[in-house]
Amino acid sequence: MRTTPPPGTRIYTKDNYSLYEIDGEIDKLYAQNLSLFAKLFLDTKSVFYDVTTFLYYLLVAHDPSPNIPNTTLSNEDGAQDAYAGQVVGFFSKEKMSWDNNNLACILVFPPWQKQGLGQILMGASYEMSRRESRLGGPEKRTSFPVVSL
Amino acid sequence: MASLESGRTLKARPFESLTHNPAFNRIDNLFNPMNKFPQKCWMCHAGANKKSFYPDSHRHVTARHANPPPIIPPHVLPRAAHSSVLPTAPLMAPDVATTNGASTAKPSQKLPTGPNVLEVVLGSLLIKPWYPSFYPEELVGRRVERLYVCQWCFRYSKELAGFLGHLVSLWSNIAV
Repeated sequence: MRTTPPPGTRIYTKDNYSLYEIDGEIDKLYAQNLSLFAKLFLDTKSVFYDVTTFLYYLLVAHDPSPNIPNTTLSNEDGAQDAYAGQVVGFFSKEKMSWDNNNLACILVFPPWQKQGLGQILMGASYEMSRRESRLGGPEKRTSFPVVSL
Repeated sequence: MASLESGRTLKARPFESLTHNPAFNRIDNLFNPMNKFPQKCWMCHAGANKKSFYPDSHRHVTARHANPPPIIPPHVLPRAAHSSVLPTAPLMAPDVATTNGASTAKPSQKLPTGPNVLEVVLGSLLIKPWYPSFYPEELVGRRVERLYVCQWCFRYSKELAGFLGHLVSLWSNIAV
Protein backbone atom coordinates (compact mmCIF):
# COMPACT_ATOMS: atom_id res chain seq x y z
CA MET A 1 0.00 0.00 0.00
CA ARG A 2 2.85 2.34 0.66
CA THR A 3 4.41 1.96 -2.75
CA THR A 4 1.21 1.21 -4.57
CA PRO A 5 -1.60 3.58 -5.37
CA PRO A 6 -4.87 3.17 -3.51
CA PRO A 7 -7.09 0.34 -4.69
CA GLY A 8 -9.47 0.92 -7.52
CA THR A 9 -8.89 2.49 -10.87
CA ARG A 10 -7.47 5.86 -11.69
CA ILE A 11 -9.98 7.79 -13.71
CA TYR A 12 -8.50 11.26 -13.96
CA THR A 13 -5.15 12.96 -13.55
CA LYS A 14 -4.20 16.55 -13.89
CA ASP A 15 -1.65 18.81 -12.24
CA ASN A 16 -0.46 16.53 -9.47
CA TYR A 17 -3.97 15.48 -8.58
CA SER A 18 -5.62 12.19 -9.43
CA LEU A 19 -9.06 10.73 -8.96
CA TYR A 20 -9.45 7.08 -8.07
CA GLU A 21 -12.69 5.20 -8.26
CA ILE A 22 -13.18 2.58 -5.59
CA ASP A 23 -16.00 0.07 -5.55
CA GLY A 24 -17.25 -0.46 -2.04
CA GLU A 25 -18.05 -4.05 -2.86
CA ILE A 26 -14.56 -4.94 -3.98
CA ASP A 27 -12.44 -2.95 -1.54
CA LYS A 28 -14.81 -3.25 1.35
CA LEU A 29 -12.34 -2.88 4.20
CA TYR A 30 -10.74 0.18 2.66
CA ALA A 31 -14.11 1.82 2.14
CA GLN A 32 -15.17 1.03 5.69
CA ASN A 33 -12.01 2.45 7.17
CA LEU A 34 -12.33 5.52 5.00
CA SER A 35 -15.93 6.03 6.08
CA LEU A 36 -15.06 5.71 9.73
CA PHE A 37 -12.26 8.21 9.38
CA ALA A 38 -14.48 10.62 7.48
CA LYS A 39 -17.15 10.48 10.14
CA LEU A 40 -14.72 12.26 12.45
CA PHE A 41 -15.25 15.37 10.33
CA LEU A 42 -18.83 14.98 9.13
CA ASP A 43 -21.87 15.58 11.26
CA THR A 44 -24.43 13.52 9.40
CA LYS A 45 -23.10 10.40 7.80
CA SER A 46 -24.86 7.12 8.09
CA VAL A 47 -23.03 4.56 5.99
CA PHE A 48 -20.04 2.93 7.61
CA TYR A 49 -20.18 -0.81 7.24
CA ASP A 50 -22.68 -1.42 4.45
CA VAL A 51 -20.54 0.15 1.77
CA THR A 52 -21.27 -2.27 -1.02
CA THR A 53 -23.80 -0.05 -2.75
CA PHE A 54 -21.48 2.94 -2.91
CA LEU A 55 -18.70 4.11 -5.11
CA TYR A 56 -15.90 6.14 -3.59
CA TYR A 57 -13.93 8.66 -5.54
CA LEU A 58 -10.65 9.53 -3.88
CA LEU A 59 -8.76 12.72 -4.56
CA VAL A 60 -5.07 11.91 -4.44
CA ALA A 61 -2.48 14.66 -4.24
CA HIS A 62 0.92 13.70 -5.54
CA ASP A 63 2.53 16.76 -4.00
CA PRO A 64 0.35 17.55 -1.00
CA SER A 65 0.83 20.54 1.17
CA PRO A 66 1.20 20.03 4.04
CA ASN A 67 3.16 16.90 3.37
CA ILE A 68 3.17 14.07 5.86
CA PRO A 69 6.74 13.73 7.04
CA ASN A 70 8.44 11.38 9.44
CA THR A 71 6.55 8.27 8.53
CA THR A 72 9.13 6.99 6.09
CA LEU A 73 12.08 4.92 7.08
CA SER A 74 15.43 6.23 5.97
CA ASN A 75 16.41 4.98 2.56
CA GLU A 76 20.07 4.12 2.47
CA ASP A 77 20.26 4.34 -1.29
CA GLY A 78 18.12 7.44 -1.36
CA ALA A 79 15.86 5.95 -3.95
CA GLN A 80 12.57 7.71 -4.40
CA ASP A 81 9.34 5.85 -4.15
CA ALA A 82 7.79 4.63 -7.32
CA TYR A 83 4.50 6.07 -6.18
CA ALA A 84 3.96 9.12 -4.07
CA GLY A 85 0.47 10.20 -3.29
CA GLN A 86 -1.73 11.10 -0.40
CA VAL A 87 -5.48 10.81 -0.25
CA VAL A 88 -6.59 14.33 0.67
CA GLY A 89 -10.32 13.99 0.16
CA PHE A 90 -13.06 11.96 -1.37
CA PHE A 91 -16.69 11.87 -2.24
CA SER A 92 -19.02 8.94 -2.27
CA LYS A 93 -21.86 8.21 -4.58
CA GLU A 94 -24.65 5.71 -4.68
CA LYS A 95 -24.37 3.19 -7.47
CA MET A 96 -28.10 3.41 -8.06
CA SER A 97 -29.65 6.63 -6.89
CA TRP A 98 -33.41 6.88 -7.12
CA ASP A 99 -33.27 10.57 -6.38
CA ASN A 100 -30.67 11.32 -9.05
CA ASN A 101 -28.15 12.28 -6.44
CA ASN A 102 -24.73 12.58 -7.93
CA LEU A 103 -23.00 12.84 -4.59
CA ALA A 104 -23.72 11.39 -1.18
CA CYS A 105 -21.01 12.76 1.04
CA ILE A 106 -17.98 14.83 0.28
CA LEU A 107 -15.02 15.67 2.44
CA VAL A 108 -11.61 17.20 2.15
CA PHE A 109 -9.57 16.20 5.15
CA PRO A 110 -8.86 19.14 7.47
CA PRO A 111 -5.10 19.53 6.87
CA TRP A 112 -5.76 20.15 3.18
CA GLN A 113 -8.87 22.24 3.41
CA LYS A 114 -9.22 25.78 2.12
CA GLN A 115 -7.17 25.08 -0.98
CA GLY A 116 -10.07 24.82 -3.38
CA LEU A 117 -9.82 21.05 -3.56
CA GLY A 118 -13.53 20.67 -3.00
CA GLN A 119 -14.11 22.29 -6.35
CA ILE A 120 -12.25 19.43 -8.02
CA LEU A 121 -14.49 16.92 -6.32
CA MET A 122 -17.67 18.83 -7.06
CA GLY A 123 -16.67 19.43 -10.65
CA ALA A 124 -15.94 15.77 -11.09
CA SER A 125 -19.28 14.76 -9.63
CA TYR A 126 -21.21 17.09 -11.88
CA GLU A 127 -19.20 16.04 -14.91
CA MET A 128 -19.88 12.38 -14.19
CA SER A 129 -23.59 12.93 -13.84
CA ARG A 130 -23.53 14.99 -17.01
CA ARG A 131 -21.94 12.16 -18.94
CA GLU A 132 -24.51 9.80 -17.52
CA SER A 133 -27.00 12.36 -18.83
CA ARG A 134 -28.67 12.44 -15.47
CA LEU A 135 -29.85 15.69 -14.10
CA GLY A 136 -29.10 15.71 -10.43
CA GLY A 137 -27.41 17.36 -7.57
CA PRO A 138 -25.93 16.49 -4.24
CA GLU A 139 -28.01 15.10 -1.44
CA LYS A 140 -29.79 17.99 0.09
CA ARG A 141 -29.16 17.24 3.72
CA THR A 142 -25.70 18.75 4.06
CA SER A 143 -23.63 19.04 7.15
CA PHE A 144 -22.74 22.38 8.53
CA PRO A 145 -19.23 23.37 7.43
CA VAL A 146 -19.82 23.14 3.71
CA VAL A 147 -17.76 26.22 3.06
CA SER A 148 -14.62 24.77 4.56
CA LEU A 149 -14.29 22.19 1.82
CA MET B 1 -66.18 36.26 -32.57
CA ALA B 2 -65.64 32.55 -31.94
CA SER B 3 -68.19 30.88 -29.75
CA LEU B 4 -67.70 27.85 -27.56
CA GLU B 5 -70.23 25.20 -26.62
CA SER B 6 -70.47 26.57 -23.12
CA GLY B 7 -71.72 29.83 -24.46
CA ARG B 8 -68.67 31.84 -23.48
CA THR B 9 -67.11 33.83 -26.23
CA LEU B 10 -63.51 34.44 -27.01
CA LYS B 11 -62.59 37.87 -28.19
CA ALA B 12 -60.46 37.92 -31.23
CA ARG B 13 -57.16 39.53 -30.40
CA PRO B 14 -55.49 40.01 -33.75
CA PHE B 15 -52.42 41.85 -32.50
CA GLU B 16 -51.40 39.22 -30.01
CA SER B 17 -49.57 36.14 -31.12
CA LEU B 18 -50.16 32.70 -29.68
CA THR B 19 -47.32 33.03 -27.23
CA HIS B 20 -49.14 35.76 -25.44
CA ASN B 21 -51.80 33.26 -24.52
CA PRO B 22 -51.02 32.24 -20.95
CA ALA B 23 -51.83 28.61 -21.76
CA PHE B 24 -49.20 28.55 -24.46
CA ASN B 25 -46.82 30.38 -22.24
CA ARG B 26 -47.04 27.55 -19.75
CA ILE B 27 -46.03 25.09 -22.45
CA ASP B 28 -43.26 27.30 -23.66
CA ASN B 29 -41.85 27.54 -20.18
CA LEU B 30 -41.20 23.83 -20.23
CA PHE B 31 -38.83 24.25 -23.14
CA ASN B 32 -37.26 27.42 -21.99
CA PRO B 33 -33.60 26.65 -21.39
CA MET B 34 -33.57 29.12 -18.56
CA ASN B 35 -35.88 26.84 -16.63
CA LYS B 36 -33.51 23.89 -16.54
CA PHE B 37 -32.48 22.50 -13.16
CA PRO B 38 -30.11 24.38 -11.35
CA GLN B 39 -31.72 27.74 -11.75
CA LYS B 40 -29.74 28.83 -8.79
CA CYS B 41 -26.21 27.98 -7.86
CA TRP B 42 -26.17 25.76 -4.81
CA MET B 43 -22.89 27.22 -3.63
CA CYS B 44 -23.43 30.93 -4.01
CA HIS B 45 -26.51 33.04 -4.54
CA ALA B 46 -26.15 33.49 -8.27
CA GLY B 47 -29.55 33.38 -9.91
CA ALA B 48 -31.37 33.64 -6.63
CA ASN B 49 -33.05 36.93 -7.41
CA LYS B 50 -34.35 36.31 -10.94
CA LYS B 51 -31.16 37.55 -12.52
CA SER B 52 -29.83 35.84 -15.59
CA PHE B 53 -27.96 32.75 -14.54
CA TYR B 54 -26.34 30.36 -16.96
CA PRO B 55 -25.29 27.18 -15.14
CA ASP B 56 -22.94 26.07 -17.89
CA SER B 57 -20.88 29.21 -17.77
CA HIS B 58 -21.09 29.68 -14.04
CA ARG B 59 -17.73 29.03 -12.46
CA HIS B 60 -16.40 29.50 -8.99
CA VAL B 61 -13.04 30.96 -9.66
CA THR B 62 -13.30 34.20 -7.80
CA ALA B 63 -11.05 34.91 -4.88
CA ARG B 64 -14.09 34.96 -2.66
CA HIS B 65 -14.72 31.30 -3.33
CA ALA B 66 -11.11 30.26 -3.46
CA ASN B 67 -10.54 31.60 0.03
CA PRO B 68 -13.84 31.39 1.82
CA PRO B 69 -14.14 32.93 5.22
CA PRO B 70 -13.28 30.48 7.95
CA ILE B 71 -16.23 28.76 9.51
CA ILE B 72 -15.34 26.90 12.63
CA PRO B 73 -17.95 24.48 13.88
CA PRO B 74 -18.90 24.53 17.53
CA HIS B 75 -16.77 22.55 19.91
CA VAL B 76 -13.88 22.72 17.49
CA LEU B 77 -10.73 24.18 18.85
CA PRO B 78 -8.75 26.59 16.68
CA ARG B 79 -6.99 25.04 13.75
CA ALA B 80 -3.63 25.23 15.44
CA ALA B 81 -4.26 21.62 16.37
CA HIS B 82 -2.70 20.54 13.08
CA SER B 83 0.91 20.12 13.92
CA SER B 84 3.24 18.57 11.44
CA VAL B 85 5.44 16.64 13.84
CA LEU B 86 4.27 13.60 15.69
CA PRO B 87 5.91 13.90 19.14
CA THR B 88 4.24 17.07 20.26
CA ALA B 89 3.21 18.03 23.69
CA PRO B 90 -0.29 16.73 24.27
CA LEU B 91 -2.93 19.38 23.91
CA MET B 92 -5.36 20.16 26.63
CA ALA B 93 -7.97 17.47 26.54
CA PRO B 94 -11.49 18.55 27.37
CA ASP B 95 -12.50 17.79 30.88
CA VAL B 96 -14.15 14.43 31.17
CA ALA B 97 -16.35 15.51 34.04
CA THR B 98 -17.87 18.43 32.15
CA THR B 99 -18.64 16.33 29.07
CA ASN B 100 -20.22 13.68 31.25
CA GLY B 101 -22.31 16.33 32.91
CA ALA B 102 -23.43 17.62 29.55
CA SER B 103 -24.45 14.16 28.41
CA THR B 104 -26.37 13.44 31.59
CA ALA B 105 -28.13 16.76 31.29
CA LYS B 106 -29.80 15.51 28.13
CA PRO B 107 -30.77 11.92 28.83
CA SER B 108 -32.97 11.69 25.74
CA GLN B 109 -29.97 11.91 23.47
CA LYS B 110 -28.41 8.51 22.93
CA LEU B 111 -25.40 9.51 20.88
CA PRO B 112 -22.56 11.37 22.52
CA THR B 113 -22.53 14.97 21.46
CA GLY B 114 -18.80 15.50 21.59
CA PRO B 115 -16.16 13.58 19.72
CA ASN B 116 -15.41 10.18 21.14
CA VAL B 117 -11.95 10.32 19.61
CA LEU B 118 -10.11 13.20 21.18
CA GLU B 119 -7.20 13.30 18.77
CA VAL B 120 -6.51 11.47 15.58
CA VAL B 121 -3.07 11.03 14.08
CA LEU B 122 -3.07 10.62 10.32
CA GLY B 123 0.39 9.51 9.42
CA SER B 124 2.18 12.12 11.47
CA LEU B 125 -0.41 14.90 11.36
CA LEU B 126 -2.22 15.51 14.59
CA ILE B 127 -5.84 16.42 13.84
CA LYS B 128 -8.60 17.35 16.19
CA PRO B 129 -11.82 15.60 15.17
CA TRP B 130 -15.02 17.54 14.89
CA TYR B 131 -17.70 14.93 15.37
CA PRO B 132 -18.03 11.51 16.97
CA SER B 133 -17.33 8.53 14.82
CA PHE B 134 -18.51 4.96 15.14
CA TYR B 135 -15.34 2.99 15.46
CA PRO B 136 -16.09 -0.45 16.91
CA GLU B 137 -15.96 -0.37 20.66
CA GLU B 138 -14.24 -3.72 20.98
CA LEU B 139 -11.27 -2.35 19.07
CA VAL B 140 -10.92 1.24 20.22
CA GLY B 141 -13.19 1.41 23.22
CA ARG B 142 -15.90 3.85 24.01
CA ARG B 143 -13.59 6.77 24.38
CA VAL B 144 -10.06 6.97 23.07
CA GLU B 145 -7.55 9.69 23.69
CA ARG B 146 -5.57 9.36 20.52
CA LEU B 147 -6.26 7.19 17.52
CA TYR B 148 -3.58 6.40 14.97
CA VAL B 149 -4.77 6.13 11.39
CA CYS B 150 -2.60 4.94 8.55
CA GLN B 151 -2.28 7.55 5.87
CA TRP B 152 -2.24 4.98 3.08
CA CYS B 153 -4.90 2.45 3.93
CA PHE B 154 -6.80 4.23 6.74
CA ARG B 155 -6.43 1.35 9.12
CA TYR B 156 -6.63 2.48 12.68
CA SER B 157 -5.03 1.51 15.93
CA LYS B 158 -5.37 2.69 19.48
CA GLU B 159 -1.84 1.70 20.35
CA LEU B 160 1.23 3.43 19.03
CA ALA B 161 3.13 0.14 18.92
CA GLY B 162 0.57 -1.48 16.71
CA PHE B 163 0.52 1.51 14.43
CA LEU B 164 4.28 1.55 14.10
CA GLY B 165 4.28 -2.16 13.47
CA HIS B 166 1.76 -1.58 10.72
CA LEU B 167 3.95 1.10 9.17
CA VAL B 168 7.00 -1.15 9.33
CA SER B 169 5.05 -3.96 7.76
CA LEU B 170 4.06 -1.64 4.95
CA TRP B 171 7.66 -0.61 4.52
CA SER B 172 8.97 -4.10 4.42
CA ASN B 173 6.17 -5.12 2.02
CA ILE B 174 4.79 -7.70 4.37
CA ALA B 175 1.19 -8.52 3.89
CA VAL B 176 -0.77 -7.55 6.97
